[in-house]
Amino acid sequence: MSLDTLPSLGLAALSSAAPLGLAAVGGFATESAGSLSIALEGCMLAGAFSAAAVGRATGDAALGMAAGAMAGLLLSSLVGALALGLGADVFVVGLAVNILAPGAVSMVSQAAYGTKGVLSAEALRAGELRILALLAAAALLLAFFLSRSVFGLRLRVAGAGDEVAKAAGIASGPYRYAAHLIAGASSGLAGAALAAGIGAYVPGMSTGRGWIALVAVFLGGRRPGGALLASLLFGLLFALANLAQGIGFPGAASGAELLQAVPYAATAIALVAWRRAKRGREGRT
Amino acid sequence: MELLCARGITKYFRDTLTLADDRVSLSMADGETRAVVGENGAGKSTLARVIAGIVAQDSGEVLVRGRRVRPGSVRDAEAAGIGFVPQVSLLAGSLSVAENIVLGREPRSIGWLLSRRKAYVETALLVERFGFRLDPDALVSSLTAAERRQADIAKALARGGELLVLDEPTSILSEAESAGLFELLARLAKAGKAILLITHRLSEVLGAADTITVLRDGAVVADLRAGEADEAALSGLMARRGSGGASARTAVPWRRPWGPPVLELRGVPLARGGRPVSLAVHPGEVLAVTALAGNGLGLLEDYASGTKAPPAGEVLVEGARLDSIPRGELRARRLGYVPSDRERRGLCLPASTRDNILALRRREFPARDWIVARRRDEAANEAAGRFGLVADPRQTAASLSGGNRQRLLLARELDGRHTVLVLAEPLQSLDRASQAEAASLIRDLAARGCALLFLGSSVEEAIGVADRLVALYRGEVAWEGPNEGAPTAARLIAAMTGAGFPRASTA
Amino acid sequence: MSDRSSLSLAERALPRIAALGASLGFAALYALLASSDPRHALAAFFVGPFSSRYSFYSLLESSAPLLACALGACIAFRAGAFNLGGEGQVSVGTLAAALAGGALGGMGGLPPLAGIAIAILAAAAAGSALALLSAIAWRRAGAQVMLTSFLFAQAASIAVDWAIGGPLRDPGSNLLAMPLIARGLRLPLLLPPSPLSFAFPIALVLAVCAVFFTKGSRAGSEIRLLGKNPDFARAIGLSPRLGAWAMGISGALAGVAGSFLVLGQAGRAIVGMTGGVGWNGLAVALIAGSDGLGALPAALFFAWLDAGARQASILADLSPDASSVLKAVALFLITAKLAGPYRRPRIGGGKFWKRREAGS
Repeated sequence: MSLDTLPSLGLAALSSAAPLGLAAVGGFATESAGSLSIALEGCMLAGAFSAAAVGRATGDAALGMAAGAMAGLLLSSLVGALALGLGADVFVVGLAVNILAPGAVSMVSQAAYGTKGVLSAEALRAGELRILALLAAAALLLAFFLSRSVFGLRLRVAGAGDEVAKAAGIASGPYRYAAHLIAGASSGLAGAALAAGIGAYVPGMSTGRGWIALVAVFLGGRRPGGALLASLLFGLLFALANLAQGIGFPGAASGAELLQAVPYAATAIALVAWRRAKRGREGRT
Repeated sequence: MELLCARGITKYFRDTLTLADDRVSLSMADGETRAVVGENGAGKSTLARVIAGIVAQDSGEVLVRGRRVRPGSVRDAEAAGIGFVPQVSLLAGSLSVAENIVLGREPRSIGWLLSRRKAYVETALLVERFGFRLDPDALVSSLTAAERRQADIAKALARGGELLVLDEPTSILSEAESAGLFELLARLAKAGKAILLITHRLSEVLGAADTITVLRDGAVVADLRAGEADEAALSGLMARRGSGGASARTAVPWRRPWGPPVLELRGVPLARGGRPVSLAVHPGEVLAVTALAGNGLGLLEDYASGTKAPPAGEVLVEGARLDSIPRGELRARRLGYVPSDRERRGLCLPASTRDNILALRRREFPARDWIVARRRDEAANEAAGRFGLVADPRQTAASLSGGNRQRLLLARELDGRHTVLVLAEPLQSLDRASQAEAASLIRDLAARGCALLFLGSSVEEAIGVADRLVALYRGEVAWEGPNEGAPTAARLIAAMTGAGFPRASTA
Repeated sequence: MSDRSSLSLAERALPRIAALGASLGFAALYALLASSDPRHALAAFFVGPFSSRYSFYSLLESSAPLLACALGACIAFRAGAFNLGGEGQVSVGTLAAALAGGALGGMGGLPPLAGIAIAILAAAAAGSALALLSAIAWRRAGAQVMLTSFLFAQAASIAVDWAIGGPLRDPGSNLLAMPLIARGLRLPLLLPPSPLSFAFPIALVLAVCAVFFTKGSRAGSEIRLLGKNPDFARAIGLSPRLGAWAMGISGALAGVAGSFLVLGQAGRAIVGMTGGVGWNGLAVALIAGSDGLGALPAALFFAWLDAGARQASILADLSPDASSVLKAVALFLITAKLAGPYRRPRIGGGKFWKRREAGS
């Protein structure tokens, strides 16, 4: 490994981290409002597909990205409507959306393009760096917005419990719904960025990133900035894994895939250690 | 014109069948500090909530400077200048003090952005003006109980409150912190605020209030100026006259207990900053510990039942440390426990009556009886019948009335299989006759050698069953002695309300 | 809602039948709208899987691992734990079964079914161990089972796929798979040439045992009490290890599902062969309810959806992925409390969808 792999490592880490971070901050909004959405994965996949489809059709990358965000928004509005309006369990609904998304995308792809496979959308590729910048900016802005705006404040109140919200005169329902919409749009946009990164939609290309975004939310604790940092860490870990594979350490070809497991295992261990320490501080009851 | 006039407030709770307030009236002038006192369940908290607009009264009206406040409307009450400080803080823990205070009318900098600076300034001014000791940027979850209380008050004042209603403000505070709180209240009064103080702690009241309203069983029994009564008189007014109910006991010969204690607490602290408490219950005796809410009874219940481990001291059952006994064995044979939180700890509401009533007898039934439930149904019926509980064993515990749920709990725990019984508010929800039966059963169990620890806030109930009594105040033993009937009751009430409690030096 | 703690079978089955029925209605709608030949499509979807012995037995066979996973998820739910690690537990089960099968294949002189039994048990142990990691994390540190089960399982899945496709790979095969397991160590086929193997009857037996356990044993009753009210369970003196037992059983069942995949038609461990059975099992459990009674019908229903969609894509022009959509619809319907659109929602502000109430 030479010195000039570092900048490309950094770039790789960033391009991995940016979609994760954006989705994570969106997920954070729902967690903060007390109605955690696990549908990020499904929204991401739908976003990737929609971006590819629209990018292909219009030849315009910007439209493609917007379509991706829109797709995520629509899916998450379904989650919000069911969970908040009809009292469904937000967890079950999220899970259902994650099951729904790949199937629905497949069906639409089959119907529109006659294939379930890779859908190329070279138009999306235009301005890869710009898209990266866009995502990073969006993630940062959203995090800033959630932590500094009146809306973000009220979201947190909604998440503090119905009693507290009522005492403060805040109606939690609309805020929670809005949080879902934000999560959907973010995840959708993140998915669109994934597609833009390779200029195509590949079935299942979200590869669990939506779930990782959720993990980042939990690791980040009560601050959107924490989720962003966790996403950066994940991005770095994934970039390192890819790098190891590219460099060809002895046995690295196989080893690199194994390295993909490290973020999950590391997170789990870190989570347990942190909870254990916290419990030690508070004193066991 | 008077600041506040509450006329004929009546509130009836249908689901618990209680008449909380019965045509209660009181009035307040600007700058007046009035205390509303009474035992638990006297209706003070409900009255406060009606005035604050949290609960809508069934009849009567609340007028602020002659203008009627819409019942059940917190907004309207706030607009009229009434600020409410609840007993349990309703601030959002994850927000800062300043953020909580400006909630709902947040100052903005650009567009949607919160102006932290303006929020800080607004809060700082408030803090400055009334002498709070608060950091506007501190997270509410990091505040101490006393600081949280101050933050609650600050929030209530932030909207220009003229009248501050405080519901048991010192229940979570240590003595020193309470003194600090009353200094703050005195400052507020001097600044022209009217204060309505709901409390059962008489010692505090006499120092702070200008006027006192005494409630008993939902009705006003006295409306006095501070100088007109002393603690003894007040507690006399507050106490419910015993009538029927648990058998009126007069002098009871104090039976010599049999043998060494089977339940002991040694050096267990029941409140922050309070002296540790030691208690012992012997076989054949009923020890009743009474205290008003917030004085350590809850912790005593937790420690004595083994639900929580005390931070200091130890709890012994039959000489062995409680935490060294396997819990299943403990509950099946040694220690019976009737929790005060019936719905959360005492029962599994979605489960059947049968499963609840036989919960401690799981191992008595061979595998066969779990497949075909007939024998368990019979056992459940039999256990229930002994306590006058008529229910289908398959019925959920949730579908039972409060009284029946209590019977279920008693049926499970009071069947004589335990050597020690910890009973927390065991007579709750029962009608008079059932209470008498239960009390009599408790006496029987004692006669058969069981050791019973009776915990509750009702002196009347305690006198009806106990051999010895202990009163707690602020987590410390305020009085203990044998049961001599009515005179003991008076002493208990006085002790529970802090009479004669050594006061921290306040001006 | 009824007062009875055990709602009658009809009362519990009805909402589920309604949800599943409604999703079938959607299926029909889809066939009518999307196909150029609706009648053929409908026939292929609804009747196709039953039209030949082969396809019917295929359906049954495919439901076996799903059923096992679902039973595991049901038991975890019953104890109040969200076991999200089904995929990973199935995965380690496949690896364990394949390793056992491979190792035992070299040994001669084993009674025929013993080898299979050992492989299945190995798979169960592997799945159980993975699930127990989360249980331990919960007991020792208070870390939520929902998170740790997912994380550990994801890591395990990746590791297993790496192992199968890497160091343990069969060099002679084009597939990313381990070597074929000896015939004698694979689950015997019941009705060749159909793929129906012993997996299905074993799964049925497991289902019966599971129901017996949950509804007819002391431990099952205790687990239910724990799940419904942990404070109560503690106050009553229920063993604190009960939850761990439940997780262990849950993981074991998922592991067994993995052994069905490996020892069944495939005969070997292939990368990615879990194919979402863990998540589908979770979905089936959510539909079936925590006592496991509904697990068999729901698993068969899911298998039918998959088979029907597949048939409809071969014989007509529908998409085989319609089954995922229909499963999601069933989940939506089950969880949305459709006792009236203006029912007060459980989560979120009560006034969002209702007309404004009078008062504050």
